[in-house]
Amino acid sequence: MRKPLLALTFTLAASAAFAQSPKDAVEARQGFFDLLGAQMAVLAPMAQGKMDFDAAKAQTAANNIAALAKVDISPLFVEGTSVDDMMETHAKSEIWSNMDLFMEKADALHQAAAEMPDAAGSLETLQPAVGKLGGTCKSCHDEFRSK
Amino acid sequence: MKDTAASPAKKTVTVWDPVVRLFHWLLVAAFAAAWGLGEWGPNQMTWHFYAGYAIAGLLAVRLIWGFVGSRTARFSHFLYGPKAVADYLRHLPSKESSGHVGHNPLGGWSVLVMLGLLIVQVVTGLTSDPQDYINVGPLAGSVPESISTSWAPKIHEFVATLLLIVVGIHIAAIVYYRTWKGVNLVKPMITGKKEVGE
Ligand code: HEC
Ligand code: HEM
Ligand code: HEM
Repeated sequence: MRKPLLALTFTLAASAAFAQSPKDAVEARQGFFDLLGAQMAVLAPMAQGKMDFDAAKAQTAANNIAALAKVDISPLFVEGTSVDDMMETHAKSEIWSNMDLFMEKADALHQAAAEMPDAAGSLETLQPAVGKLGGTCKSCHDEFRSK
Repeated sequence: MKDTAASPAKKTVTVWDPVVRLFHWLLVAAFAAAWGLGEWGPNQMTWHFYAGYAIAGLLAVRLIWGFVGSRTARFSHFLYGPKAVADYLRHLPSKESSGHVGHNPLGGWSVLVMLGLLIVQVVTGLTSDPQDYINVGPLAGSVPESISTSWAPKIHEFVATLLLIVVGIHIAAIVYYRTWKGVNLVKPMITGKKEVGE
């Protein structure tokens, strides 16, 4: 996961440096969420008993998601890139009319993800931590992502 | 005018068999639970799923019962043709009870609509993937992604609202019978018995 992380950092840096095309911003943030998803795809099946617990894999995914969640995604939510403006995105326009709440949800993700590296050591601690983390995804999607 | 007090003889008949009655009141409880938990429940939707599975089980029983159950429980008994429905509609504003034992011609179709929407709700729930990795429907992996991440959740959300409206009309119809036609439909759904004038 080092490479995508690195690539992402560049993307984010670029987005701050240059005015991005709306399409690029959308692609970048979707890439960000896909990366979150890739970590969850390792953690959730273990927590739900659909896959055997593997401490090493869990730890890697937990560290990754903790690092990813630190990223400030606000530069990727450029004005004029909501579902009302373009086809390629699922971002509701409410994000821009209620940016404070949106950032609060991002912060909840950050907090929950920060607990993951310590929780990944055993299945007993992983389970509630994944539930809490997944809850922060749901709560933001319910509010700010169209289906 | 309706004049039940003077009607000479009254007879008690069984309208709803125990399976229909149990089905109905368990459905009411499970529906309320599924709806409330879906809209306002905890982020971990485990109990919403359980309520949904309960409804799926109830629907399966009711569908089978629609073919093999007692007379009034059968689809063949309560699904009437267009003429019967039209006749019934004409009679609807009258203060007189239609006197049907079992669902009336309009009510029968409303039952089918409710059951159909509930099936849609269960199917879209089972195949929904809200991409939070903790509330993924157990069949979401078996359908294309465009369905699991987009159409199924879209329809699930829409039909949830639609069901609320249809159930609202359902209850309004029961109240209408009670207040306008002076017929208590709820009691038979509890006891199974209905009084019919001879
Ligand atoms: C602060 C709000 C927020 C949080 C928290 C959040 N998401 Fe999202 N997510 C969104 C938005 C908005 C989109 C739509 C982005 C778009 O289409 O432009 C999205 C889209 C996605 C997508 C689809 C990306 C694509 O390729 O279209 C996935 C997968 C996803 N999120 C997973 C997750 C996971 C897993 C978590 C939790 C670990 C999470 N999200 C937490 C807001 C959030
Ligand atoms: C507390 C509120 C409710 C009351 C008082 C109520 C009452 C009734 C009554 C009296 C009947 C029989 C109608 C007739 O005589 O033809 C009936 C049938 C039915 N109701 Fe309700 N109902 C309620 C809520 C619901 C809900 C929430 C649902 C579904 C989600 C529902 C679904 C049905 C169905 C499917 C039938 C047909 C029963 C069968 O033939 O199996 N009801 N209801
Ligand atoms: C008839 C029974 C059901 C009812 C009335 C119901 C109702 C609801 C409601 C009101 C929501 C919130 C929708 C929103 O505002 O976004 C919801 C969400 C959800 N339900 Fe159900 N549900 C039912 C059955 C099921 C079943 C059987 C499953 C899966 C096993 C399921 C899985 C989900 C999922 C994953 C969500 C979140 C994704 C989304 O918003 O669509 N549901 N449900």
